[in-house]
Amino acid sequence: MGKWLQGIWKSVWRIGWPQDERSAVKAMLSSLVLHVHAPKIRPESLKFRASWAAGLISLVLALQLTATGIYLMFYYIPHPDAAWRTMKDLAFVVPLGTLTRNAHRWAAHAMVAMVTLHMVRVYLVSGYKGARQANWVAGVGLWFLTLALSFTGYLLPWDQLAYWAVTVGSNMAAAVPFVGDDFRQLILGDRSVGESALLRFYVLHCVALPAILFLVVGFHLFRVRKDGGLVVSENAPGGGRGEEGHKLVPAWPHLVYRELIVALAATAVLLALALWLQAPLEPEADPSRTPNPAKAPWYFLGVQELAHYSAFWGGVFVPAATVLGLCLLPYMDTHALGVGQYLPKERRIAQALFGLLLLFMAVTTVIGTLFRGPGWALMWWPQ
Amino acid sequence: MEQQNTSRRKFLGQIGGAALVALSAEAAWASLRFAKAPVSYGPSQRRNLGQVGRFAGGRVYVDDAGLFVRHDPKGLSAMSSTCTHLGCTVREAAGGGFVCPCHGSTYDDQGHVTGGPAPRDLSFVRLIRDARGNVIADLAQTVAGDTRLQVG
Repeated sequence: MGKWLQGIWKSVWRIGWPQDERSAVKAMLSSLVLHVHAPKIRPESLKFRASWAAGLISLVLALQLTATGIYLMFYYIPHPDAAWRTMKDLAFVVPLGTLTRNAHRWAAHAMVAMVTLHMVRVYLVSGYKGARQANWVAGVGLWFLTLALSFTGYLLPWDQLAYWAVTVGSNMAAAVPFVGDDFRQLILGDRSVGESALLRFYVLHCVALPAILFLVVGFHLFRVRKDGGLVVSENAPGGGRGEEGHKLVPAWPHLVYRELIVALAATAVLLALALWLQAPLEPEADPSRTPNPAKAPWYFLGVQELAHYSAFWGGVFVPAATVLGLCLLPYMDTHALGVGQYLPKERRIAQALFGLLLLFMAVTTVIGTLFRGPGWALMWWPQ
Repeated sequence: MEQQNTSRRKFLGQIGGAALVALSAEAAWASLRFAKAPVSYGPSQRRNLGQVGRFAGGRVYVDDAGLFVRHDPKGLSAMSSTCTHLGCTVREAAGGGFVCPCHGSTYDDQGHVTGGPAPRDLSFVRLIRDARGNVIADLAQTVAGDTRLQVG
């Protein structure tokens, strides 16, 4: 009997718990999940400075968002008559409903921050050069998908904030030259934000965008593995091709355990946030009354601040030029100097330009978030 | 003979490739065409504003239609409260005129832009009267600002 049970166990876990380096390598290669990593990796890539764990935490958050999102879908009804009411049900009736919604909300905010941080780090270490050009573009796509998921998810609570943020956002789409009005009608399925828009955003948010996101994530991770793992400086021990370069460490347990700890820590922080901070819910959407001021979530407030000057230049041109510029970057900046270093002297101009872009985004976001009051007027004391 | 075979294969490959590109373009067009319905599933664009007598007091805001309806000696006019910048609902400003809460566009009493990012003046919509004498606004049809519905 014991042997029979052992046989079932062995049919699933064929390698067994790794006992030595040889079986650790075997375990890494024979597992669907574990073989996203090479069986042996450079020790330098284990250090915090090599990754900031930003990509891994982004993935953990995407999985947490999927799990909490599925729970929320058990109760949510994507119709203007019912959507806001189900938010109240989650808050007052459903056991752990508030916790689930809070976790989903804060994980979404954190994912935008972590994906952006991940992109900043990869830029700094020139992780878009050589074989990694296309994978950088895939990463820009994932960043865009993350923002699209936030934007579509933002409408679903159907409160005043949701309704007006999406009204403003979809009217920015209408500022696209020539096809703007058609484009907005395509997104909203109607002339203004209503039941068609809510249903479309729901389907995009829960089915289409996550499916595309995880497909691209698969490609993204596969390419990282094929391109030799994390970008490590040629000068770092174990980074070059010399004698030192061959001192690799097995990914099991060194990398796998570290990743597990990071995943658990990220989940613990998320749970703590969900327990302490309540996700806001404003009064039910009212198409005839705009709240004053009407603000998008913080990561879109830089764009909203620019749109305040001009719907086309701020709301369409600057965001489109940013995404296009990021996609073209690996094909314009191609020299291989200073790869793997954070502040190499060969890249002073590139780093300065990128620093200016980040500063611009940060300043517009801070102004839009803290220093804009009713009627979008400047105010010196943050509310 | 060998040469001929290779070029035939290449030709067929190019035909196949072109067909694939055409198919993808057609599929993309069809998807967009499918997603943009020719009808609206939202509420009707025609709103019943009620009897004329309701607007005797100069300017009245009709909440559910989002219209400022004005009754002057020449007749009735209905000005949209939707800001021409990004679609927020403007409100009456303290010192007269209108202000948008989203990005601070301002308009005068006639709906002309006086400040902020708004690209156009507030629009006016067509008013008609039905058989029972109710004033009906058609939100889908804009008219010039000096258009009036004659009321008896």
